[in-house]
Amino acid sequence: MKRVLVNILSTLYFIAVLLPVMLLIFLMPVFFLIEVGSMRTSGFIEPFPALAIIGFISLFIAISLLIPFFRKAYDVLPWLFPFVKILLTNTLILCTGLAILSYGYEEYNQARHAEYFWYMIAFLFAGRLLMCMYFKWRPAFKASQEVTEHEA
Amino acid sequence: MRPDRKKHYIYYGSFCLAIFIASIFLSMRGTADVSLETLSALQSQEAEKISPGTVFLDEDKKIDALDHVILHDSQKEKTTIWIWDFADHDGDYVQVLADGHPLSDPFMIKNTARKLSVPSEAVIQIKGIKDGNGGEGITYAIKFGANDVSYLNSIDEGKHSTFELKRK
Repeated sequence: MKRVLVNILSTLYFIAVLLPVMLLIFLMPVFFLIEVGSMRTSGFIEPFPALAIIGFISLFIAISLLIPFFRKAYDVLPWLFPFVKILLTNTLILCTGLAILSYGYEEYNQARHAEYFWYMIAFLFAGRLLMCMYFKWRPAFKASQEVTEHEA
Repeated sequence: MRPDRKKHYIYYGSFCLAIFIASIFLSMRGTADVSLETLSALQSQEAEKISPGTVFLDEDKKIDALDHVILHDSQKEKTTIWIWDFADHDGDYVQVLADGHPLSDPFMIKNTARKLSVPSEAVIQIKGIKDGNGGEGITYAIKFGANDVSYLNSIDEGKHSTFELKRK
């Protein structure tokens, strides 16, 4: 009975919370491009709740990893853990890049806008490069792979 | 579940929790000062001896657009002004002009005050460049070092509010 209840709770959390979170982090590059495009076109900051988004995404992922019965989703779907790890890191990079651009757009000055746009591009490039190096050094799928190897 | 997998989940879960806590700290900003002094300042749209950056309201509220003549006894050639958003920091942009000349590029007003140096005798104009998300006009507070008084004001996009600085 307890096992059934745990399975139901875990499934509900996956469908109601984790799936929307995954969709959000998956679509984050699109939101990022829309936001940057709108700032480049208007010349003004369009307030974007980047910190709130990062905060809530991190909280829901933390809950799913730290509370034992919510972890079931990661066991059933071995790709889920690397997916979340890579896309959350990507979201952090994009939101930091957006914060850099927003700082530049606090003043309405074309030269300053262009300068901070290139700072953002440089940061995104460096961030993605470091991310790739990190995941090559410590593959995101290691946890799942270890188990598969053990089980094999 | 194997212990090695559990270890990875707990490490990464703790990392996510740390990000959540950091995001709360980073997004924290001053809450509105609801003392009697600030409430009366909201009605009179003037306040003496308040710190630049004081937040009076959590949300934007339409207030009257007023022009002022400021009489002071400062003998210095230049004086300092501070300008900030006294309500919700919602992406309003203004530009400061002294005797018709821009003192800086248009900039976004935030809850943190921006400091500028202006002539002690001049016509200071605050030009509304962009109304942010509030839709209640551009609300701002400006403090003059010459008389140590802060003025709460609002302007619409493209309009000016004027502060005429005169020695007594």
